[in-house]
Amino acid sequence: MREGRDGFVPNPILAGLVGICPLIAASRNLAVGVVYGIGAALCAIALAAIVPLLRSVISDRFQVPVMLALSSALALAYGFCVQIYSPAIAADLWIYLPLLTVSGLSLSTLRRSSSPSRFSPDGKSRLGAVAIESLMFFVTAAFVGALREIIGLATLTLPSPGMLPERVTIADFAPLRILVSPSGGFILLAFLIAAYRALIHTGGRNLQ
Amino acid sequence: MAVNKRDRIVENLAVAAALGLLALIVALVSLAADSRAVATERSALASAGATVTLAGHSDYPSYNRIYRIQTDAGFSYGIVFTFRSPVGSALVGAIFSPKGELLELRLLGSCASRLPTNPRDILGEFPATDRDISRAADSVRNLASSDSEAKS
Repeated sequence: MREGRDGFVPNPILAGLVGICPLIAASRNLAVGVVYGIGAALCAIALAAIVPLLRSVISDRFQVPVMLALSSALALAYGFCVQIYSPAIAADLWIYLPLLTVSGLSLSTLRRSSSPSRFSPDGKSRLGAVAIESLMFFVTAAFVGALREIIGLATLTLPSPGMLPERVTIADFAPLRILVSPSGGFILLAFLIAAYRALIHTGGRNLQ
Repeated sequence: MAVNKRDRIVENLAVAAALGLLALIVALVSLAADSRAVATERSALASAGATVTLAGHSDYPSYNRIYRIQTDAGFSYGIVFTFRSPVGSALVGAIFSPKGELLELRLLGSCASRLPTNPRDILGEFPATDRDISRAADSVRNLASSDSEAKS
């Protein structure tokens, strides 16, 4: 995945396949997709803001361990906040809350942003590119969660606080229950990736 | 060379101190989250006129804390379980007698759509529930016997 000269930032999930395994395993409904997406986006943006500053302060041999420790700390702190906000959503996210460490780190522009300079060679802000990519990660996570729940169960779980998140029931039957399982999530993701790539190809963008 | 070595030691110590500070911040956030979780679980397990106190901890994945529920009629024990399956999760409050008999189940929270409304039917949706309930019953029996030994 490469940014074009016009500053086009490809979708990290649908074009870069970044963090898709925890995303699909976790985002079975809208509430979980939103909470997971916000967590990954916040971790990525915070790391992108802090890491370039640290690079000018600490030596090369400490950069990887410090970055990992920072990412883990951010993911853990976010996980505790989710537990306070909604124990039910935190329980549903389970091991995938600490795994935000990986999603936050692996958002691809973050790797490019770990240079001491705040700007890329073409003069654009690196933090801005990370923010755009993180926003797309969040929107896609929420969209995948919502689509799986609507098509799979005909319900929509809202990310409301408390033990029982509010739920909107669209129909009294579950149309395609397989979509809620991880295998169904990957099937849906494959269709979304195909649609996204077709759309990008039609627009003349290059994802190479 | 000696200066380089000293600089390295100073740098190592500085990074270790910074990471220690980071760990301390995470620990403080975790304490805040834990105290909030205890308050939420106590209010979820409480019934009219009951006093709920934290009686013990467990490192079992599906439950972390055991509560003592004191009422006028006597006392019982409460545990909040997290049950998970590929289609979702549920938070279930279980009340046990001091002998480890399951007295009551309450559905406290759920992110799993299309669950049955009866908590006892919900247990059938989660593969490991029987094992979890019997393990919790053992924990309650052990806690109750240590409580009675302490009283005597």
